[in-house]
Amino acid sequence: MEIPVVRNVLEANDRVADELKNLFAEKNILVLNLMSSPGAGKTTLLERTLTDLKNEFKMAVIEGDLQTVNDARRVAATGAQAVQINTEGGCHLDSAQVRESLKSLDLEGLDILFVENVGNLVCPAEFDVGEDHKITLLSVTEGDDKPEKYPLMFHISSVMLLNKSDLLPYVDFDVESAKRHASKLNKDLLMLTVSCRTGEGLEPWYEWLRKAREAKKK
Amino acid sequence: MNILADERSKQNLGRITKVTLQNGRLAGVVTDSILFAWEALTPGTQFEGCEIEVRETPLVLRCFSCKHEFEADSAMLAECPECGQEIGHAVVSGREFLIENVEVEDESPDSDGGS
Repeated sequence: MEIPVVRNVLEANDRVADELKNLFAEKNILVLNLMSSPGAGKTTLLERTLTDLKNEFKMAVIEGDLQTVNDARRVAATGAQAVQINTEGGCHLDSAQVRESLKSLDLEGLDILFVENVGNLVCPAEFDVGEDHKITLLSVTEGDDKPEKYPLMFHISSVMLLNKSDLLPYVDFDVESAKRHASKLNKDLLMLTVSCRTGEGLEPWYEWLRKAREAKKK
Repeated sequence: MNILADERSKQNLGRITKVTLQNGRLAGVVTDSILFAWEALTPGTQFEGCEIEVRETPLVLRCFSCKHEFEADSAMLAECPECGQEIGHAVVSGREFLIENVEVEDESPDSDGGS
């Protein structure tokens, strides 16, 4: 006898993600899920952003890594609240881990919560953690065909930051080709070229953050 | 397995002999890995010996310009076969990762626990 089931295998994750979405809406916190390959510059982007916008927003970070609390330390050095999740081998953050980590954060009055996902362009795209937007970082020391190779990540992101632009003279990265492919996958994708090391090009990113923060209030 | 155990107790089903999954081309899940995981995890549970079938479902895109729906490979970068548009297609299906149905033994035992 055949019995229909039709249930999403990841429904447990989605259920908690919905719960978190409601919590973040109630507390009026903009939540951004930051994703990239390992070493693309997520933590450096956060260090910059947390420092430069310190006087505008109250921000906090959930750091996802396989091991170590190094990134949470770096982020906390800016004065922002930071909590580290060690996945101990897990290749992405799931919503239950994020929910658990909220116990260590003071959400009152928070404007923006960044979730720095585990460095990986595959599974983090599958697991919602209650975020408003997904942000993908790509760095020019990687292949310019990353959007072609990992289409889902770019399809579902709101912003793509092309980082390490200060290294462009020394690498063969084809910016136009990467942008063309990414925009084919997602016509609404905002693409910004930045250097988190020098700070070049970050102002449009901050402008986007201000707008997204404003939009969340409504 | 949690979902299956849940359905089984909710619907008071007998032993599940087969489970069918839908795995979309864009779901990011490798079918061989599901099969391997099933084989590794089920022994010693109520699903030991239960057959698993994974149906890979195609990626279907809707053209941004002419709204024509067409099948594409998982790379997503596809020209619309009707109008040639390359940009901004929406995903109609292909991201699903579902338990579609189960086959159970006809007779449901009245009280069968096990996990």
